[in-house]
Amino acid sequence: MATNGMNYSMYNGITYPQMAQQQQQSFYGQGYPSSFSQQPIPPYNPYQMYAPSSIANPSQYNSYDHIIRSAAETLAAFTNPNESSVINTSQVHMPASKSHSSSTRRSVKNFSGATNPTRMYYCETCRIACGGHATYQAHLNGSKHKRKELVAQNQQTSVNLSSKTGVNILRCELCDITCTSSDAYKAHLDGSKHEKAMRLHRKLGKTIPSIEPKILNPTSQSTTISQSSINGSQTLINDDQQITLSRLLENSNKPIGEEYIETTYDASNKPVLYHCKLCECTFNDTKGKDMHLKGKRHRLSYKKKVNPNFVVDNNSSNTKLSNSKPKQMNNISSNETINNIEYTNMDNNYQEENDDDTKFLMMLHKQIVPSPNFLNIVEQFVSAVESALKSCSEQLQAFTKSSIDENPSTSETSTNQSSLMGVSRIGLLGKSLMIKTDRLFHIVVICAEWPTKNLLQTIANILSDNFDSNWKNQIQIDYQADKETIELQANTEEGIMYISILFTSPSIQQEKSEDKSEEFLSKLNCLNALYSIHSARWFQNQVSIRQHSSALIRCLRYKTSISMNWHSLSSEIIEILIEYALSQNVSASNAFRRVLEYLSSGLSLLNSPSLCIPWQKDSTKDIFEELTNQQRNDVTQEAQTGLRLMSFGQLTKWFEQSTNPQLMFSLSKRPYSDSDDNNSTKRQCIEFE
Amino acid sequence: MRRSRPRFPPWRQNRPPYQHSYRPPFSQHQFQQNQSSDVFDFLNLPEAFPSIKQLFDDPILTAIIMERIQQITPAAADSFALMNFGSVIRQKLDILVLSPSSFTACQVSEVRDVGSYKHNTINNPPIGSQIPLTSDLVVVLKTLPTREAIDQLGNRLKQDLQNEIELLSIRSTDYGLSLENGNMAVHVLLTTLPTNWQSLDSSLHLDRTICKQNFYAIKHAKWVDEVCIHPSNKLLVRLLKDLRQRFNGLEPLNPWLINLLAHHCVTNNNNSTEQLPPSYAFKRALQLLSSGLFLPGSNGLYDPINDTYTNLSRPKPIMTLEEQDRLCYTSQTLLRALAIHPKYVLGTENGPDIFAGPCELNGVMFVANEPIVFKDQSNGHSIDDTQQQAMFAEVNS
Repeated sequence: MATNGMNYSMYNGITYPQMAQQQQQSFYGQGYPSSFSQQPIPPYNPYQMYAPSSIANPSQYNSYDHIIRSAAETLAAFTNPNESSVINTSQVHMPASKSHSSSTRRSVKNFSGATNPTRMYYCETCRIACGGHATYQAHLNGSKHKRKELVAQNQQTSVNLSSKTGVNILRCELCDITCTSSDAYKAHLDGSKHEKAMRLHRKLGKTIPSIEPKILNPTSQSTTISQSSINGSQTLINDDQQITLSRLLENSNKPIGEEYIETTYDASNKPVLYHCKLCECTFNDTKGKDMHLKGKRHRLSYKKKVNPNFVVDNNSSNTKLSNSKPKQMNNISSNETINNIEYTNMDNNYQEENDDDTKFLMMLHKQIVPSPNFLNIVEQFVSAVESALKSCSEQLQAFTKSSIDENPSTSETSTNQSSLMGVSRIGLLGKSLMIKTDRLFHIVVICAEWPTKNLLQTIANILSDNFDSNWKNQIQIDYQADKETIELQANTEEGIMYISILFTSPSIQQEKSEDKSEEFLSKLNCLNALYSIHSARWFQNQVSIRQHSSALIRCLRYKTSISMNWHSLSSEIIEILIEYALSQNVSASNAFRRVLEYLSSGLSLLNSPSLCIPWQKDSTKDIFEELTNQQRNDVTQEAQTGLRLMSFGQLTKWFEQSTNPQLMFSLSKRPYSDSDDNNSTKRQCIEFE
Repeated sequence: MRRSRPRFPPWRQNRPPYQHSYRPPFSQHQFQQNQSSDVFDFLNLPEAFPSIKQLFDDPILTAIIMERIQQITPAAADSFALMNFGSVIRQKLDILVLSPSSFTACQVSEVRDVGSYKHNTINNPPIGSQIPLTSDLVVVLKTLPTREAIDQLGNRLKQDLQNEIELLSIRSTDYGLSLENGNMAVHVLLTTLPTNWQSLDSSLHLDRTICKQNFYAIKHAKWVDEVCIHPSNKLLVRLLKDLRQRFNGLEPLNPWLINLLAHHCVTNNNNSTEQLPPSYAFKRALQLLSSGLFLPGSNGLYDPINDTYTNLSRPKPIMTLEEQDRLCYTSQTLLRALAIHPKYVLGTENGPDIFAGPCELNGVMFVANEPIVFKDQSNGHSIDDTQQQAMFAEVNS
């Protein structure tokens, strides 16, 4: 039923604004003074305010149009137009309705179709059909009609401010109803009110406007306003703004978390009550439930309670709407309101700008974060190594199989050697905390059994054959017997990159003995590799989900790379501290300051209560265990300086300071005679004191 | 029924109130209020910070502290002599309160004991210095404290005391009067009733800020008397005063702040009523100072007298930026030194002056923190440079 109208307008959506306007003026506008047609436009046109009752979107209306219309109404009421004029009007509004504009209701007519002998009087403003002329007159004089007219007039001068950026307001032309979401619009289309209006319109033989929603957003609005105030009749809507209903419904969110809906059934096994466990709310019908499942509140609580990684599109339209309404209602003079709004906006900016530290940190982060190209190269390199290791593993397996065949007696030891269980990225790779200066990355090969030195040697030998031909030439492989690692070195566009391959096995944790024998890798190295795997896993689960964590850690890591004093501070320590700081729901710059406070208050010093490692709950290992007394002192000193610099708004200096300690370091290496006279005299002065 | 005055004049009745009509210029206060927070404290974050060692009692440090306390506590005889001296002066002042007609230059409203002697936290003056043991009295006048009135009061006290105490010398100072008797002294802090504060003129009278300060000393003394009773608290006050005497950088920490800090460190134990031992409280005090307790961006300590946090106190901040920085970097340096060489920090053993330049402290290359904010910013950089050059030189040798 409704599809007819829709198709009709869809395929004939061409507008003839000029023509419609001309015809109409020639028909109605003759005996009327031109002053009527120029409703004064308020001077503050661009900042038009909400009229208190702005349920209906007023943008289609404009002053000129309305005056014409009301004039037409009176004219129609007093003179009975002849048949030809009726035909004429119907021709006029045909194209207009195609253009989705409001011109359908511009012309009030006493339509007498061939099939309908009785005359129907229809009031366009109130959308009411009257049985006879007398009732129509009465209606026109009634207070209800007058009020509606007044409201319509107000709407013309005011523009819906709520339709700000990105808010789609759907409008049913037929019933003059605006909906803020496609779901609500759909519900309206299914509703009885809409159906009633349809029936009435069909009965009257009026063209039914398309059920295509009219989408109003700010750009279209401003153009329509300006145009309509000039042309006086037509609203133009660009083709690209006519989004089809089907597409809208496709775009709308998919329902999620249906499993959290509890359904209560009545005796006849009909669902009567739906209860959303996530949001603690109940619904009586399926539609409400479906709407809720798609709604923002539900999605937010789903994100909060079920899946923290779930993305809720940050469409704050609803909140904006509700916020802006009361503000504007309270204010009488729109000019003052605008000033206020501007001030509050400025104030917000002011406060945002106030946080220089955050701004600086984000700027620094932008500078130190590696380029996509760099990341790409690293990724290629690492995956090349990984695939090479995989083929190594296959080769080893094949080799073992053959050796089993040849010599069954040694099968046990050789099977032990063969199986490489997998490869894991650890450290910077696993945590994706790289900064520009990083060149050395680590991966761990997990073996089924305690790896032997022999195995490492074998892998180091066969590894180069397993690389792609592209990489084979670029890569140097170096087996480091003392460190028990395999070091890879590659020449890339971004300079030389290193990958260090560590070996470990989960079975080592269960082993009680310290070091097995010479042929096996040392237990300490293997445990350290395992430890880093755990650390990476902990980071992925606990730290990386927190906002700003990676950026802050990168900034602090950058500091460790430029400052001698912080050189000893490992990435793990920084991660733990940042995690603690961010776990208290503070802003980025506050978290940064917190970390500096931790270290300044002597967290790393010898006599302090130290921190345990979060991914090793049972152990009593201290995260600062490996630092020497001197390093602890230096780390604390650097953090203390940083804290004070940050407090006095000079955080930039802390990151600039880089050159000084390094300079000092290089100077200190030079022999004494090299230092210039100036320095030596200074030194003497100090000794004197 | 009394009708309240309309908020706006008739022609402005329907106007909305001006919003943001006046935006104060960016100031240190605003900065502090916008984003200040409590400074990091181990004790107040037990869940968020799972530490391994609960070092409440540090036996090594406790022994050193006890040794130091022995050294700085005045001998019983000295303390008794000071008490006698003070009480004699008090008697004479009390006579003035009781018979105001006998003295015309000024009228005394009340006399109160304040300060470290009253709270039993007085320290021995450093060995070799000329500073006598001191007790403090606040004298509140009903009249305005003019210079002449103060001199008259001094003369009157001199007359009254002539026969009882020998070797008496009386000086008038910024804060009032100072009476000395060889190795003892009584400071008479003069002030006036708060109603008179408005009419004070610094050319005629005592300075208004000093009057206020002296008046608040009474309130502070009451609070300390009532609240800071735990021996650990008193011990910590002594230690901090001693520290302040030996390290100039801690000078911005005035006696009232020391009391507040000590009280906070000893009693503010994560909602438990247990008081902390002095060894831990001492370390905590330095930790708090190091993590920027009095720096901008932190609330500071809660001041029960002003009912605000110390860093937010208005209209005048308790410290200038330079002082904040000095206090912070000194305590930061001391905290690091404490971890390496506690005996040196507490003063039971002599060591190199850590603030003079880089030195070796128990095998660790120790460099004192450098100031960031200077009294005169233009001068600051040159100081910075020379210090750095000095550091190079030291490293080279």
